[in-house]
Amino acid sequence: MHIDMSYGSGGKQTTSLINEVFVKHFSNPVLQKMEDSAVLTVKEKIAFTTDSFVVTPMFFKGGDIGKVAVCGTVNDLLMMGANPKYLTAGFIIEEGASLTDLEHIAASMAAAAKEAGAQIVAGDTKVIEGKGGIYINTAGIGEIEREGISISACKEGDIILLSGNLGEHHTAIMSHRMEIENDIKSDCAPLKEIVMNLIMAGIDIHCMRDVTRGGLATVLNEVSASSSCKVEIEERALPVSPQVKGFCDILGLDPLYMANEGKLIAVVAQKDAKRALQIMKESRYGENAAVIGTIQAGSKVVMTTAFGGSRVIDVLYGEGLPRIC
Amino acid sequence: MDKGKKGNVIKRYLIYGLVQGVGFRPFVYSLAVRLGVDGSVCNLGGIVEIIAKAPGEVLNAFLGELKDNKGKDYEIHAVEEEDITEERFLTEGNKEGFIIKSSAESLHTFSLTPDIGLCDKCAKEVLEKGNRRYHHPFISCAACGPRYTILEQTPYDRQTTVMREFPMCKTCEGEYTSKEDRRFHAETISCKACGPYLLWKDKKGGRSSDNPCSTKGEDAFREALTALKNGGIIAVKGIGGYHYVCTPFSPETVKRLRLLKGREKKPFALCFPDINTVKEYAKVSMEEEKLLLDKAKPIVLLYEKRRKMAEEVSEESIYLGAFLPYTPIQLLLTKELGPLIMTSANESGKPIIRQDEEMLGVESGYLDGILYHQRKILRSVDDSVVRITMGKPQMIRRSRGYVPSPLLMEKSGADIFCAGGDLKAAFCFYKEGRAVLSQYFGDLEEYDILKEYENSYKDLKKLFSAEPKLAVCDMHPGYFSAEFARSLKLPLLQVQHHHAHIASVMAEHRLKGKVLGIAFDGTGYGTDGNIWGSEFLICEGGDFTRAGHLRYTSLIGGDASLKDVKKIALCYLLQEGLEKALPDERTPLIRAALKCNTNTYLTSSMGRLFDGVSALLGICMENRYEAEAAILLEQEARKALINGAEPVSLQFAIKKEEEMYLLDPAPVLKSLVQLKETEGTGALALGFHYAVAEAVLTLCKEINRNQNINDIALSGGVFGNTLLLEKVKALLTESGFNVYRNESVPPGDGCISLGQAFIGLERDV
Ligand SMILES: [Fe+3]
Ligand SMILES: [Mg+2]
Ligand SMILES: [Zn+2]
Ligand SMILES: [Zn+2]
Repeated sequence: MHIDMSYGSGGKQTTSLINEVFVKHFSNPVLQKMEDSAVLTVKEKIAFTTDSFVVTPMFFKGGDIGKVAVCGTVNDLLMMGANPKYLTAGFIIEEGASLTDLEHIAASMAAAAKEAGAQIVAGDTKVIEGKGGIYINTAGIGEIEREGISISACKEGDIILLSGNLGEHHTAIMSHRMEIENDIKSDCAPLKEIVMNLIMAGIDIHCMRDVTRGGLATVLNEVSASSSCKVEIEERALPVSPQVKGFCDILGLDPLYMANEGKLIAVVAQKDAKRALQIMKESRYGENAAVIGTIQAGSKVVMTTAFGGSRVIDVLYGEGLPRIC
Repeated sequence: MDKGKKGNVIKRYLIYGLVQGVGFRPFVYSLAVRLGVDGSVCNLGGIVEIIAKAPGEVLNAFLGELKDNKGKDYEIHAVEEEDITEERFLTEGNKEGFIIKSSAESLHTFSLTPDIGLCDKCAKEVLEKGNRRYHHPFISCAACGPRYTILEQTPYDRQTTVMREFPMCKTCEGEYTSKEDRRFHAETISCKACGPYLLWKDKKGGRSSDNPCSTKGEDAFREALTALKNGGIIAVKGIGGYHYVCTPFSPETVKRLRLLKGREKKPFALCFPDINTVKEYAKVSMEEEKLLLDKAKPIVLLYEKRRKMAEEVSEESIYLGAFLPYTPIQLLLTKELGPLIMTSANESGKPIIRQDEEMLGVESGYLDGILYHQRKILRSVDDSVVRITMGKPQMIRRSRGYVPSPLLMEKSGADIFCAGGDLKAAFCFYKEGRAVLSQYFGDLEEYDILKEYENSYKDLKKLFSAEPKLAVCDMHPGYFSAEFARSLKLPLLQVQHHHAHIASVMAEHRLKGKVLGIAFDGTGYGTDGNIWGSEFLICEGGDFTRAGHLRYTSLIGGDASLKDVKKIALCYLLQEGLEKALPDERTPLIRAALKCNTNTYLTSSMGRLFDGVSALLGICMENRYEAEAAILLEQEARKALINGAEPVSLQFAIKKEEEMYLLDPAPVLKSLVQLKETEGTGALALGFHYAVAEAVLTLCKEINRNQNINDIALSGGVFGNTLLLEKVKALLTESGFNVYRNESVPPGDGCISLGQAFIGLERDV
């Protein structure tokens, strides 16, 4: 079955799409009331964010666009020390999209939201002309569990932890596009367990960021600029799986600049670093966590290379353009 | 002599060249006194001003003798003269007689003297038993010694150099103040009584620096000799930084040196006690001999090494990098021990070590000791590297001995800062008709090198009193040098990389009108967002139009991919369906990446084509140091040429698309794949070089059909390939073109900042 323009008419078809796909999978008391808007009870201080998702291919090893759409928003809330509670989902569907695909997407959104402990409480659907693509917007509200976590709060001497291997989402997507068979799966995941465990243990967290588009290099440059500090990392400490490394070496890709969908960095006070690492490693999706660097006085992001040199890590300026003469 | 007012002419001369810190002013003084010229000589910081009053014919004789510098230590590059009035003569402090005005009286502070290698007279004295400076490792005179690396601020004077920490003894002071002495006003004068002395720190077994047994003076020297004789590696403090020094005859020692320096595979430079010893190890032409003996004492690349040393010194390379002692310590060490490896003391990716604390802090089991002293080095300046091709020098690395000698520019304008390129980085200040290039820094992606670059900007800006009103930088969006230029918040001019290459030749040779520039290199950002590297540019003034290039090829991105020469070859071959010629398990993934444009870029790089051909011919699969694959390809061709092999005939296809000439390497690659099983590698390598040269000639003629260009300028790192350079020049010259190339600055990216200065002045923003 495929979706055509009649699904967007607001009539019977629309109602059946909402009931049989979205309400069925997202089922929760607020949504079921079918009011014009969701009425919610929340704690005093909340975090609120939104993001839109355009992913080709829509299905890939380790996830699909629905999972990414939920994880992206959930993780953005978590990075501010907020516990994700409520989400909205807006769909723009091109005619020709498969109804089965849409159900799969809704199911994985529901699963990801459930894992993160959040409910999808409002939504919207539009159908447009096109070639069968599906685009999703999500917004989310989270209750602040820990205040003061900020990109500009890093202090000299702080320790930077990374929650796991780099480059897996990017590599999985690329392999799919290039029709290359391998075992690399997207790391797409909600990072609730890691974050809540860190907060619950009272770790002195100064900053958290999920490492998505632009990769670790981009995030660290944001830290350096916002906190006016020098970020020092160790190439040898960066966790990368052998499969991803092999793939990147051949294609001249640098895992430092590659997208992830289930990784975060946490900048913590030096005294708590060891404990934080232990907690990450014992949390779901954190088994490969590592201490990757420190915050120093100064500017720029500098990496000590495996050969002992120190390279300035700039933001991505254009994929693959060489500097070397 | 008649000094009556009637017949007198009064002139003001400005003398440009190597005229500071080489005993020039005392010479002018004695000449003026001898000929009866009144007036003064004054150092305006790099330029010498002479005011002279005498009858016309006397002034002519005076100038004639000045210009004839045979047997003297100075070099005059240009003389400007103007007539001045009696009134000005007097207001500038001149009376009857001739005086040397002290530098301090001058307002100009653009100081331009490089470090000068040990002169023959000092060399003789330091080896002469009984001389009061026998074995004094800091002997120098008005014509030799460190300058740039010890200068704190201008003007150059003892009190403005690090030598002010060593008050002169009575005897030295006597020499310093005596106009007849060759150490008259030699700012670096010292002796065993008053000068710095040697120190030896034993590091055997990597012991820490609190080891108390430092020895001094001659004992320190002896300790160093013993360590070297025992096959040890020591660090020796030089002019622009420390060297690691060891014997080139023990393979085991040289292997340890490679471990001490990191993964480097580059050939090491050698210091020889004298020119005759060099000749025992390599063929030395007259021009090469002159260059070896030059005041700058660069490392000279010589051909036809005779294998007497450990293989590990230079591995497969057929070149020998040789230099003659430029410090008394180097002379004393090599006189005792013969040729020694002397290579810059630094970890890869760091500037040459110049600070004692840093050197003493190096903890390595491979380092046996440190021979040093208390005279500070203010700037890290690497040894320069030069070679002779077609009878003239080709600069490969322009640093110690040449920096900060200015290059005179035709146009003038407000002060300009030119950031240069990112690799082999060197920036440049333009001020008052002169472009002063900085020392060589290296790759700015390395944090310590970038810091050195940024600090040197402040240092040299102050030293030259430059007040830039314009910053010029490369167009590449990822260049650190460009980012630095932007951070200065000056009006900014972005210049295309290859245009800067060609402009550097135009600056050096003062070319005017239309010039056809050919820039062959590895990588430069193009105005279309692609990576250029084989550009035929019609240049005029500060503008250019692109007239031709190698057909674009898609290559896999990432700086690390540039080491993987086999992958580069695979990319070229895949696009022609020839990939079976080079079996590799990665081929399917590379094919997919090229098909989907995953992390690929389009390039017209000539350097990459040389890399690809090198791998295709099985010569080199991985660059262990920069351009190794291309260097080895040239070497195979060079050997074939020397052995009289017949070059295999190969041909590029030439197309014209929308006013743009395209050189297509497809037929060359096809032939190489077909012939590589039957023809010799050398003959194919030579054939490839000739094919490139012939394609250049054809394209130049084509482009010139509707143009009327006689001058051709060659630049870019690929022209560091002298076999190609010689062939291209020969073909073009035979066809009636005037061919110019970089001589005073390197054809590689060391020339970029000069080209940027030229364009900055032309555009006159
Ligand atoms: Fe270049
Ligand atoms: Mg986001
Ligand atoms: Zn001397
Ligand atoms: Zn003395």
